This record gives sequence, C-alpha cells and structure tokens, in this order.
Amino acid sequence: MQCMARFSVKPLRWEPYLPPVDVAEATDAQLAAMQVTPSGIKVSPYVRTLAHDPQSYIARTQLYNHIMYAKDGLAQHDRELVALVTSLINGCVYCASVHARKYISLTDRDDIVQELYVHGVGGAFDVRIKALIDFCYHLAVSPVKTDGRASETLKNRGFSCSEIVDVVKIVAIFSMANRLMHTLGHARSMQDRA
Amino acid sequence: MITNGDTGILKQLTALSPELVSDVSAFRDAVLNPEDDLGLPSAMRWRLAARIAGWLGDEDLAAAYRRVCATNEDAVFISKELQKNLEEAIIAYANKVTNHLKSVSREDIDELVLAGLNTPQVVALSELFAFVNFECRLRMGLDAMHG
Repeated sequence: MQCMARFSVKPLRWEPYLPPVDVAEATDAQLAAMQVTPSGIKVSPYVRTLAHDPQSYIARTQLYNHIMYAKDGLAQHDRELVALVTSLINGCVYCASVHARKYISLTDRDDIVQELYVHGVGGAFDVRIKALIDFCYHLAVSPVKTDGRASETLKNRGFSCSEIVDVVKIVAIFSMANRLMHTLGHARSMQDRA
Repeated sequence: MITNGDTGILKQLTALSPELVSDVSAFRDAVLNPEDDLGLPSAMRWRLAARIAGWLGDEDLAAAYRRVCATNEDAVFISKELQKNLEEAIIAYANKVTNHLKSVSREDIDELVLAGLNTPQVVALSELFAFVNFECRLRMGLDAMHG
C-alpha cells in the first residue's frame, strides 16, 4: 500500500536521466521528428530525449495517436481508465498522473481514481469497472496472464468485441509508453526544480 | 538482409483493425531494421526481441523473431572488446524493463552508459524493448479474445 501511495493526481513534470537533443544542434532528421519550426522551438524534454532515435519516435507517435485518439470504439473515458490502470500496474508515476487527471475531467469519478491509488487493482469497484481493471491486469503483468475468461467477463459486462479490441490495443500501447517514460527519466513535482 | 518475418500480428490486425497495420509495420522497422542502426546491428535487435518475447510467454513470437535472426550473419554485438560486458549489461536491462519495470531507476541507465552505450543507443534499445512488450501484448490479447 505504501508503494501505491506514491501516485498523485497533481500535475508533474518529467525529467530525463540522459541529456536530451539540443534543438540548436539537432540533425535534420531530429528536427523533422520533433516537428520544430522557426516559430516554435520549445520542445519538451521527453520529445527531445526520444528524438535521439528519430525514426522510432515518429513511428511510435503515429501508432500511439492512432490507438488513443480513434474516433470510434471504446469511449474516451474508458480509454483513459485503461491507460491509468496499466500505468499504475507498471509503476509509471508520470503517465498515471496524466491519465488520472484526464479520467476525472471526463467523468468526475475521482472516487475510482482514489480507490485505485489507495487499494490498487484489488480495490472495491462496480462490476463493470472491476471487469475492465482485471482484464488490464492480466494483460499488463509480466509474464502475461491473459486468457479467454477475462474477455468473456468483459463481454458479459456489456463491452462489444470492437471495444475489447480497443482495450487490448491501449494496454499494449501503454505497456510500451510506460517502458519509455518510466525508464528514461522520472516524475518530479512542478515545484521541485533541479 | 533481414526481413520483417511473419510474426502473425499483421494478419490478426488486418482482420480486426486494418488501419493499424502500416503503423505497427513502421514501428517494427524502426526498432528492428532501422535506416540508421546507431551502432546496434539488426541481428542483435532481433535476438533481444526473441528473448523478451520468450520472457513474456509468447513462444510463437519468440520463434518468429529467432527465424529472422538465424538468417543474418552480421556481428551480434557492438565491439569485440566490449562484447561480454555489453552483452551482460544489455540483457540484464532488457530483463528488468520487461519483468521488473517498477524497479528500473537512474542507476540502471548509468550502468548502461558505463558499459559503453551512448545516449542514442540507450534510447534505441528502450524503444526496442518497449515495442516487443507492445507487440506481445497485442498478440496475446487478441489471441485470448478468439481462443
């Protein structure tokens, strides 16, 4: 429980462990990846860190946007909950904070976020939320534990097949995103300046 | 020349979500067959991918990755002098990122740098490990739906 208490819904900033790309010294490929224009040279430390490998950064960003901001399928608030739960399971403090705040802004359900932070994925939730959290858990852990039962439970709770496919995609994309955000730097308080 | 190989995921995605096929392919190319390998040969990348897929329990994907790297004769690691040191450091980090993500810290990154990796190489490896964790979960999640 002490570990879960580290999570916060306060806005955080991300600080890299390695020196990010210096925009003034960036290659053409890095500048293109960061979409730097003469009028907009302020690029976040996270983007400048990933710009060390510009081809991967571009490809990953396109995939992420495609999955997270699809117009159809799983409701946006459910997308944010899946992102939050996966990030909590993976211990990515920064991603959890971002998606907890997005989820609350879409639903006003800060009680669900608080339960997740205090009691983790084993907390008390209604059956629909519980089914979604259980599915995320079994797919996010290493080694993966998912099987047909978890998706059957989601179907029984009213999720369509296309919505479950979206849940799979979002758990997968955050299993990726958390492995960049949590490994290449760390979350700091907005007031905590290095 | 290494080809992408058939990991099965594109066929699944084509059936369920065809619009994602090109995105996943582009990401796989970027981490496994990049235009600029940053001193990390594709053969090494495929071997690491196979190992990670095995850790996650996706033996079919691990076998698919192994089939690709078995056809490649490029050098496996970056330099002979640093080979053993680097191999141990990279595999240990891949394991930690995959299986013990919560415990990864600045010290792990520092160890990679001490072992001889530069910043772009650390970022490139991180993208590779992240991608394989993505692809495994996408495959296993879709499989579970239809199992």
